Amino acid sequence: MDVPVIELTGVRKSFGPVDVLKGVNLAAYAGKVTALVGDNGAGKSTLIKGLAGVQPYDEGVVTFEGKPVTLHTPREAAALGIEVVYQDLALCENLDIVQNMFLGREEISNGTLNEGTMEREAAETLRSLSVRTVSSVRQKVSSLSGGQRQTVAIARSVLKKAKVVILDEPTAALGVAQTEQVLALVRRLAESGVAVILISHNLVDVFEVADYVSVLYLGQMVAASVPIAETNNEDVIGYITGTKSYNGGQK
Amino acid sequence: MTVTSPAKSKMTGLRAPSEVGIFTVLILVVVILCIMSPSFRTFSNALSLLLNGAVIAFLTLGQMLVLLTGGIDLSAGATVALTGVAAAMAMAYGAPWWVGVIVALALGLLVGAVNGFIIHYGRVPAFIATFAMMGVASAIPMVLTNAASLTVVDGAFSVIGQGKILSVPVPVVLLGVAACIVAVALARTKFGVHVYAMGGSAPAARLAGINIGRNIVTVYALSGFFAAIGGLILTSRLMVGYPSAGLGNELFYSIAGAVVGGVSLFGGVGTVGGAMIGAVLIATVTNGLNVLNVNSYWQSFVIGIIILAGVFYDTNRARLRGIPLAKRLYALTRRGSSSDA
Repeated sequence: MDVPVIELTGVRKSFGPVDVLKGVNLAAYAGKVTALVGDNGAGKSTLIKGLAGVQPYDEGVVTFEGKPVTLHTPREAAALGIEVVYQDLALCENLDIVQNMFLGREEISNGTLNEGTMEREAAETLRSLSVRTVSSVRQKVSSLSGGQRQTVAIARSVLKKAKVVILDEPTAALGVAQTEQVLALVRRLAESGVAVILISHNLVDVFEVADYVSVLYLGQMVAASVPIAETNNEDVIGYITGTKSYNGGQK
Repeated sequence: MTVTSPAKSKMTGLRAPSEVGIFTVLILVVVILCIMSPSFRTFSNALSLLLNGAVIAFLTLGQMLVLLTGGIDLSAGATVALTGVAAAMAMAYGAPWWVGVIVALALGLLVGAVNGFIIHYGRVPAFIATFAMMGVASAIPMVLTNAASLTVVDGAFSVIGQGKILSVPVPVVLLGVAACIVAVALARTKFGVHVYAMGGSAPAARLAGINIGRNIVTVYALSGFFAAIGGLILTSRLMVGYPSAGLGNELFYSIAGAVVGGVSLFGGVGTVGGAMIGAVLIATVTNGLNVLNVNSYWQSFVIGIIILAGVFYDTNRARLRGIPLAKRLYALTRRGSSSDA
């Protein structure tokens, strides 16, 4: 296996007396989709918030491209090229696609917004992901469908050459056709060289799109980076519910 | 729905800007008043309308910025009294008129900034924080002056409210400059996008790394600043610092102006142009009621109805969008059969 772009070792996090993460390891590889699965309360969100720098870990080592780094603020995470696409999408419906994609990192020239550059970059990013479902980058997000919004959110994450993109339940609210579109987009995202971490409850999605699967169970990684070809639906469900344990791989 | 919505939005994208509707209403009201009242259509009345309108419009401008972020500033009217009296007092203590101006503006900024701090860092809802500030800011001038009005001694101060530049009243010029600056800031700067984003979705704005605290403090400080300009204009027009100024209808009118101008009370929607048209509409209606000799007690009644209509439209905006006005009104009379078709 190659060197992971990002690797977590022995990550711990507790909220008061509650240990949410009890020494978790996680790795994500460039050009690969790593699915992170686990039941509600397993600690997925906490793990992700740590990666995003929103809620730093209490203990543990984060290695980025082989070097130890700190993730104490969202800014540090963003500087490394770690982007999170949240489940509720974190888009502003009253703004258009360009404004959303550049929100918080607008291109400025002479103190005012550089609309031309931003429009061009937004359109280029969408094109690089082969997105053809949006007709104009000046459309308001309120006028977009769920799948289109997900597309915008993902495009936003790769706008600034992200190296690690974390997708939190990207297909949770979508219909069948839109789920297919978004999964195809996730695939293209990985093929462009990004390390993708996909959080999902939907094992059909996971088996369709992921290269590896990592399973969290009550704050512990019970199966880490299992190649998807070496496992099956039944086993993964076993790991998620704690009725099976994984013996292979590097755990 | 998923298939049709983009197409539908493309159509609404081609529609006239939302200001056209409220502008048409304004023109209609002006025409009707001109027909009804000979004294309305005089030049001097137009001037007094604009002058009164300028104070309301300044408050509306600040109110709009706050509303865009999803907040509200109930202390704007009280700030008018506070800053107006502060300027008069400074001059009463022998300060030159421009020092009085600086004192008033600084005080306005301070009051607003305190609002912003309490709301963001103290996590007090805007409604409560500015409601409390309304009490504080209106009490101070009363206490300081014992509720007596304070005559301005420096004659040069009158230029702010009574002066003219190329025969345009100074308050109107000031308003024009301020409105243009705010319009450019909202449309063309990072600050503007962030203000709209915060009103559209506060969590999304936070996750995007926007400095929410700084922007909140800024918009409330600007609201206080514009209220202070209103206070200066009012004091300068009468050459009297009036501790109970701004305690009546000004606040009410400023919110009304913003709302009928298309600024959403839920944040994230609205333009300077719309808000200014809304403010002028409110000023026109009150002025019209005055010249028509309608009992002044009816004014609040009428403005109240206008606010209700504006808010009603605002809350039902999504349902009513993309439907021509006549159809919209018809649809409202037959609830349920209205929009989604």
